[in-house]
Amino acid sequence: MSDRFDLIVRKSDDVGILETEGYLNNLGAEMVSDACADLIDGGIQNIVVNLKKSRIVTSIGISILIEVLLRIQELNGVAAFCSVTPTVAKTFQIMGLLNASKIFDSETEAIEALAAIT
Amino acid sequence: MKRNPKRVDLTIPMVEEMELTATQTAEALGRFMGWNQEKTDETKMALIEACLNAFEHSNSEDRRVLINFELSEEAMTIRIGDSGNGFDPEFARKEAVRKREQGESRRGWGLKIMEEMMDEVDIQSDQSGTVITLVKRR
Repeated sequence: MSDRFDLIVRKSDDVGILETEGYLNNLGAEMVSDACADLIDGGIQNIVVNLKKSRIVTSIGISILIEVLLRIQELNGVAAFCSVTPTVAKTFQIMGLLNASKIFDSETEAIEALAAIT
Repeated sequence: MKRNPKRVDLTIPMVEEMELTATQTAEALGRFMGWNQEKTDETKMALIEACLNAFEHSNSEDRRVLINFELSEEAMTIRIGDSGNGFDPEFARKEAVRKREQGESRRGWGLKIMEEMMDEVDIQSDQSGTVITLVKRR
């Protein structure tokens, strides 16, 4: 698994999927934020962020993700995370991100949950 | 009889993403210690926050961070030092809480994350610099 950050954007029906790879710092999180903005501009309001390939995040990176979540919620959209390592989940819990979103074990579970809500 | 502690010294420039050099060392040392990935990842997260703290707040003239890893039977001890202006950890903690309460949530999580991820965190800081000591026990 590389430290270099990469982002893949996909769509599954009405859900946008952002799959990250590598070190999720402020630069990576800004890429996620920009990709979310593009999806929202394209009419997608439900977004899953798959962090399976990002083992290390920074507090500023998470702070930017929280801002993204709040922006999606303001538009009556729903965002969820999946495939998060225990350490990243612990960081989410410390920083209060779990108050605004949920973590699912797999991408399929996250997509199904979002489909059930909307 | 205790074995002598094993030690690795690293100096990194305060350049964007150079903190990953430190985490790569922590990854290798975690494997040497026989740790599971979660324990290593927690150490790496705390180490990154300590490095970023030095990068962003030390105002050191030499723009370098000295990192010393010491391994013993009981623990991995990491000292992250800079020769900057220093800071008051208690004031920093209070400021972080105040900013979060005012909705400025982007900054000020570093110390909290270090304390949650590690078994011990000590900060010694004065006008000649700061040394943050992180301890993760086996």
